[in-house]
Amino acid sequence: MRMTWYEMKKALLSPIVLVLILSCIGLNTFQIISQSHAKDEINLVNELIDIYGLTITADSLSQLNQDLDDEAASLGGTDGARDYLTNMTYETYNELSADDRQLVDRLSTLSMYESLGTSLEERYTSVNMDELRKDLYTGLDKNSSFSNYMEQEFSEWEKRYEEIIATNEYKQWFFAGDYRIHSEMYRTLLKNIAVQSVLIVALMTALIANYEVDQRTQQVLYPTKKGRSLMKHKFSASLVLASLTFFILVTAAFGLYFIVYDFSGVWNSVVSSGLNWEYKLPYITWWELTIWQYFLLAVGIEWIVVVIVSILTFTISFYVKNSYFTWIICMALLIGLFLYPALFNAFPFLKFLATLNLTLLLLNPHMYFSGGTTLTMVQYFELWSLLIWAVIAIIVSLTSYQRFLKKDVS
Amino acid sequence: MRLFWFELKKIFSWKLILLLGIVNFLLFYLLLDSRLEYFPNGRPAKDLYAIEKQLIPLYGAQINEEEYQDIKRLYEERVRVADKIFASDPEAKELGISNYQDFRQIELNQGELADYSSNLKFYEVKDILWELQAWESLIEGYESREESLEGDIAQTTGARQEVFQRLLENETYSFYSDVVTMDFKNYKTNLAIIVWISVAILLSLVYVRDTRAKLVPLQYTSKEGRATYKVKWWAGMTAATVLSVALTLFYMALYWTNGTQTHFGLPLSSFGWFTHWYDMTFLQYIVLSIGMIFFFSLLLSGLSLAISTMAPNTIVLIGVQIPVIFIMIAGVSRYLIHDMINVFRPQVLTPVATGVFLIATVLTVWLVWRREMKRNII
Repeated sequence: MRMTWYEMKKALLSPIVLVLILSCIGLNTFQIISQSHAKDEINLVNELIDIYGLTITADSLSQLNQDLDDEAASLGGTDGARDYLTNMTYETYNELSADDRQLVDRLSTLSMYESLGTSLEERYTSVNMDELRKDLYTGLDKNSSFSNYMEQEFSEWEKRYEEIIATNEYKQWFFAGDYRIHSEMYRTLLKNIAVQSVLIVALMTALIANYEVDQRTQQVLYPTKKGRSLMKHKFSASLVLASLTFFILVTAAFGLYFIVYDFSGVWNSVVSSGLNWEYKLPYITWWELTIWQYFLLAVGIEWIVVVIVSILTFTISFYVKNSYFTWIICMALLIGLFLYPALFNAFPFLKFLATLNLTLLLLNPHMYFSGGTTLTMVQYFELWSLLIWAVIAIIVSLTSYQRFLKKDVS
Repeated sequence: MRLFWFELKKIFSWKLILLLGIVNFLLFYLLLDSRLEYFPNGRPAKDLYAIEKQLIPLYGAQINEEEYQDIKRLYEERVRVADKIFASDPEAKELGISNYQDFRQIELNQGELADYSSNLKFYEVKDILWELQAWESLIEGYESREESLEGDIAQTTGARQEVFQRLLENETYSFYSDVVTMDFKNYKTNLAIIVWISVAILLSLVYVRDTRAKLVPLQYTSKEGRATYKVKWWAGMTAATVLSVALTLFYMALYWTNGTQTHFGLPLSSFGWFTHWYDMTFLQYIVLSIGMIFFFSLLLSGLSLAISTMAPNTIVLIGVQIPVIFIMIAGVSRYLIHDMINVFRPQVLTPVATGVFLIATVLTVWLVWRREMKRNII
């Protein structure tokens, strides 16, 4: 334990690592703050959930409609909220007092939710699954077993879509899709954190693993009895540091994020909510996942990815005894993983296997657990990718450690 | 001089060459390959490009009224081809479409008709429909040439407005699309990123190698030894120059295969969408862009050598290079390369930012150099 701590200290007390972590936190803070101009409007959904409950029902919608009309009446609109808002011109808006203007803003946001809620069923049930099936990736051969597999996946997903409709799972309030909350949270913030972690973690792992070579102490250390097993401590130190870095970045960024955006009412809503509809399709997830479950799972997956990257870096440094080359090769490896599925364009099944990879998992936290027509959207994609790469990482690291134990000191 | 060659050979060690090869291979496929393979990307970009290749040799940059009538005749010929297709299509007859004009009037929210229209366009791949759409966008652009400039003038102020006003006064209208110029802007930005990353990888080790070998105290005690610092510096800059030139030539040769040479002689003002502070031909713009990329490549080399001198080990080296490369990619490549003379960036941005970058680099290099010449060794 003490040895592990000493090894950790080598990276932790290196000022450059601290500076890098701090600049990443600064960058993420800037990212959040610069996007937050509409936060009061966005946070209003909590109030909505407070009063009308999390699920969207006909009763609560008509209640909401009634309340909005009352509010419009108190502002001087006689023909209901919608009419009042459509007749609101820029000039009349500017003539209002500041308090009234706030009320009108509130009214217009709530009325947007009201119309979203009212049209939700029609909009959600109109997703054309047959049209989507045309985009399904089946590779070249229409009758191969792989193409059958993709067809089957798609049918499963279609069933899931029907289940969401049947159980009214999608009828839950969430931030309106126009605010792009899901994308900002995962595609921007969590992905950035994961990429930043990978950059720093590869650096720290290379530092710790190559420390003896860089300091030219390996010829003194490795001939001793205890010397080579020091690698075990170095290894656990790297993993602990990888986790630490990742969670420091996550805590700093999402701590601020949840202060800026109020999630208190939304945590128990679901990712498959019909309001969480940002682009062409809503997020039709394979399972019913609440917002907090999805958040924890996404953070968990990215954490494991970062740890696997650390293990791979450690393995590379067994062979490349130079932290400069180790770091660059590690980054090249990750870019290579991103590119190599394209090699197998002619072999759909191989392409599918190649798609189950670490970099794609790292870069797409917003698509986790979502079904769709591409290769990365099959069920259990995340699980299989993690399993395959964890096994690869463990096998290569163990074999190279065995090799290292017997190697000449040089 | 012999020392210089030795140092140069040391910089281009086979390991680094191999690493640079791998990195360039990956970055090429990540950033450039798709711009070569899928150029022009999508529709109607592809059709616009084909039409431009046909028109530019005939009419050149500026289109006068007579030439415009010619172009319209060319368009109408193509319309007649489409008319024939509709006339002989039984499905079209059923839906009451007898010629291209009818087809154009289809409202896209009319169930059956919309299905028919999108079917033709996306599934049956009727090239002629896309081609006509491209023709129309060029013709409509020409018809509204004055209004669009007047609109720009109304929306802008100051020097920016003067640029648009000058265009209007000189009757310099853009007839062609920005398919080619936009593609080149994206291509050169990615090219810059690859060249810079390669240069940074090449030069970062120059001095750190000696620091790590604990060679510096030995070297610096003799006059000759301390002078090696300068020799290494010049060798490093030479190596960076060789690498940048070689990579730029290689990737520009690949760009050449896109076959956009027809557009080279035209002024930037003849391509639509984006206006530029200065008017020059596309070829001049390409040369200027490459010059800028090379200039920043040299600045980054100086900076990398300075970092390499100061860094006590490779970890600090990489740790400092990460933010430097980040600034190069997110800042310099975006604003100073991609949007170099774009009218929607402040006119002074590129010269001032480049100047600041130059001064900061020269200052850093000078300070580091002076420090090395006078440094105490204990």
